[in-house]
Amino acid sequence: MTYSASPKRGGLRRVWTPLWSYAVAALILLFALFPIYHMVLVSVKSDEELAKPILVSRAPTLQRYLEVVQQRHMLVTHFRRQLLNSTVLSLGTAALTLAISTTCAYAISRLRFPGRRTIFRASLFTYMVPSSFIVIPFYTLMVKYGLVNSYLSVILAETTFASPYCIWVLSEFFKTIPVEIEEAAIVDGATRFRIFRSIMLPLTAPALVALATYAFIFAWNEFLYVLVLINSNRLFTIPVGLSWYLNQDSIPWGMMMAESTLFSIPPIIFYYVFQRYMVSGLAMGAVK
Amino acid sequence: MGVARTREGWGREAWQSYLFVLPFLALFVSFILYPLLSEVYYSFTRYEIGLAPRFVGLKNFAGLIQDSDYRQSILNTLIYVGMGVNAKLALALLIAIFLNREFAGRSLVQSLFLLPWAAATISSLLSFRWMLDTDFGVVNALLPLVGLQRIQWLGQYSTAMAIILMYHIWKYLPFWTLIFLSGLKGIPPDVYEAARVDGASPVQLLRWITLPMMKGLYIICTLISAIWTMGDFITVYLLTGGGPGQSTNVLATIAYRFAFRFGEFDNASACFVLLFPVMLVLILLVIRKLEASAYG
Amino acid sequence: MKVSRLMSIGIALLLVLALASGALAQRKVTLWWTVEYSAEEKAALEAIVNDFQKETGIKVEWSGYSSTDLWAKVMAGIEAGNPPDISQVLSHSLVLLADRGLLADVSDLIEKYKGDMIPSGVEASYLVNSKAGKRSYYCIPWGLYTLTINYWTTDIKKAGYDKLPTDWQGFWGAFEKAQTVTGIPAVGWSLSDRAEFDVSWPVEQFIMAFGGRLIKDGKLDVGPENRKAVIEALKFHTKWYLEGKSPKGVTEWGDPDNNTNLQTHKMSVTLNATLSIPRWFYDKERDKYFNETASANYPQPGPLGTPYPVLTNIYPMIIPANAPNMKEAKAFADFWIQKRNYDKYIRGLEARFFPMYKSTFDDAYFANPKDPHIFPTRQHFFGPAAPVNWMLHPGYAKFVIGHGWHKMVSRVVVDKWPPEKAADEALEALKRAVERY
Repeated sequence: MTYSASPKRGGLRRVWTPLWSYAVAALILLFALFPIYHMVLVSVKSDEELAKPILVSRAPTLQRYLEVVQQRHMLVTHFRRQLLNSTVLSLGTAALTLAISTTCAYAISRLRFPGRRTIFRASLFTYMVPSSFIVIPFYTLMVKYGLVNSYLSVILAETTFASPYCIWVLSEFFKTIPVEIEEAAIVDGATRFRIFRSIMLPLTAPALVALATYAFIFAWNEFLYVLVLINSNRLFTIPVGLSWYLNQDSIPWGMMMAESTLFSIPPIIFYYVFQRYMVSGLAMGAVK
Repeated sequence: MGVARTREGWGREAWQSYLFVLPFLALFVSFILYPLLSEVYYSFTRYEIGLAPRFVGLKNFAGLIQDSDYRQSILNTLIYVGMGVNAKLALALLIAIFLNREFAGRSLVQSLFLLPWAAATISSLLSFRWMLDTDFGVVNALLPLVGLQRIQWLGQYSTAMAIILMYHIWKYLPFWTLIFLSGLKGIPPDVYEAARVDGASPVQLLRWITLPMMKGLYIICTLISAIWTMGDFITVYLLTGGGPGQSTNVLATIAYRFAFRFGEFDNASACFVLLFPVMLVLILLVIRKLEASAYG
Repeated sequence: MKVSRLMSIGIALLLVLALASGALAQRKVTLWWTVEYSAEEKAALEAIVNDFQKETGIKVEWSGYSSTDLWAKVMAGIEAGNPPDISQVLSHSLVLLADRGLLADVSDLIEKYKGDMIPSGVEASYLVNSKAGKRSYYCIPWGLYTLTINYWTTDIKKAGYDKLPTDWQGFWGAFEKAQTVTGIPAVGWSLSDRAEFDVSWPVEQFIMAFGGRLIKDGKLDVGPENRKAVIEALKFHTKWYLEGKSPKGVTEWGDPDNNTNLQTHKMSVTLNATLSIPRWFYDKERDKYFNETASANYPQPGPLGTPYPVLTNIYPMIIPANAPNMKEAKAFADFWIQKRNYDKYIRGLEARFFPMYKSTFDDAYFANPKDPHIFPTRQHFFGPAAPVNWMLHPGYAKFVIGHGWHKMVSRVVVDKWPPEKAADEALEALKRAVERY
């Protein structure tokens, strides 16, 4: 055990022997990264290499990515359309979620009215309920409204499940804004809505961006609701489209991995760009 | 928490507040409350494709309890939740403690560690599935090199359940690790300093300071994770499809089967409703704890 | 404002999507069909679609699916209120859908053409509709088929037989003997939940062979004789795997797997619901089609020394009762079922199914005595024959849809239950399904 003086912490601090740390870190990373590496590896392996257990491709090819994007194979004839569907779903969810959660969070955190606590509890309840638990009545409800096979139904579902977390985080954010700012605006004659629109929203802009991203990724990954609510090949999102590969007699794994990798790029980018916000949001929301 | 009053006073104030919460309230009532109540209703009816719902009392529940596939799915869900949540959170805590140390390259490790959670769920599930293919998967190809026989990973119950658990832990570990990390950072360093000055060893620090201070958070996380894991659909659906036979079904996949393979919406609803009491108790516990920390 | 801008983008995109997928003014019909086996099949479908479009000016929007996907999607579409105009369903679902009034009455079409069609096929389309309290024609019988027996003649020859024996013991005994000589597993059929008719149909056929008549006069009979028949059938069905006379993987086989395994000669004989295996040989290894493989007629008499019926089935084309373009759908169905167009398509399928028209059924292509596959299978229709049980009762169909027979097989093969226990459990479930209905 070595002791080192750490000025930041103003005292003695024990530091793990580096060898230990790196061995553990390496193990953790191996476990975490191997399946992702495997996915990319298979997507670039050449046809002859596909069945072989090699861990590095000697003749890597980007052919499959082209196949997918150019829709050259029977199974990817709707790739671009499905990508569009995924995007529309995610953007729609993000937009609607922001609209709904900002207003609700503002009221819960900055306004006083009877039933405030009930609304807060309702949002927590919504956050807890697993979405699969109500997919069946959701489906029969959408049948009744004739909304099956339309994206509106999925967007409504996704927004419902994505809102609570946003409400929660935004409430915390709103609470950090000093009351004096609002009071000043009131003295100037502003209405609630004006305050909300012109003061509260701009001040929480970074959180808004992060939460829009959260809702986007939430809908991007959605599988069950799309599987249940959408019937036609042309209207699937990528996840459901990909799952249909599995029904084939001979599954083109290389191409499947290529499409999977492509699909993973947006969420990975978003998570890394907004890593800071993800953590701080969680920290605020979950840790008290 | 300060609240600014507008000139209109409290009466007008309330009316405007309701407008603000109306959108969410509408969503909640239409898409959470109403479906939940409908589901309870359907579970007491005969309701299949092409037939209108007709009240039949407890018949569906009796039928489900007699159905060996359903009983198996409950068992699987218990295993999945029980082992999955505990293993996942225990590991998450350990890794969080590990990552809380300072060492060169820590932020890089932390960043990379996030990847399983960040990558799209469908993508990683498919990668797992191909990795474990009996004839052509990488894992089975490497086994002979260490003298082991090829295993039908997803083709037999024991290994299939193990893989399902492993995927779940792999995927959600980063998320909970981050939560625990934030929790750890919330522990004031002076507490540690005081203890070190008194001559405490690292193990004692862990046992008497870290763990007790994390207990509250750990419990809440266990409850939340258990509730969410109970409803997991995609993992089992894509890895085994419930197979071999119907032996690896969990709650969500067997309900899906009743609804969309047999057209039996009554049985599908009853699958979930049977567990509503448990779910509600857990959810109320969580809400109570979260409220306490939010307002306490 | 970030929020309103995002909202505007979101709404704009939603509108664009809605408009893009909105209905256009032109007359059209939506067809969902299977395109899974061969390029010829796809070409035949496209040909008929083009002919129809040219002749009537109605646009056909068609989507191709694999058969298991198609079935699930059609059911979902019917329930959700946005079904295709024309499609197919598996025959067990057909009975259920007809009974609940979910299919369009197509008597007008059937009456026009039934005179030239094979009677058993026409009868099979005459179904009960409890909702409307009547019986009528609720599907267009697309094709006829039986459970074909495909095998490698080379293995039989190696075992010392010129031809396969035609009695039950001799027939199956020949394959057992072949295994001792060639080392190749004798028999291979799916024992897995992943297959559909590949499991239910052989079980039903064996029950028939062992004297079981579960449906008598439209009612379920699970008396001791039938129970015995079910037990014997179950034993026969599973004994090959349990005695090491099947490839090990049968417990995992989906519908296409017995095809690929017979094609790669992993066993000597299989049962298959269509003539897709010979089709494959004809396309890819024509020499083997003629000289190394053949299809067989069922060995008569059966294991009890008495003749038993060979089970036949129809391949149904349906128009959902809530089809959005009913007139156009009937027009297309009418067009397709006309002999000239029908024959064109069925040739494209190259005898995976038998045609519904008597004249086509008897023509040189389908009735060529020199053909080692089509001809023996065609003989199935000329001995004692009966429709599969699930066509006779919706409750029974429900049992089969719920994989009742699959479960019974898996009890014996995976859970290692004694056959009696498994059969009793299955018969209980069958009784419940019929009663509950």
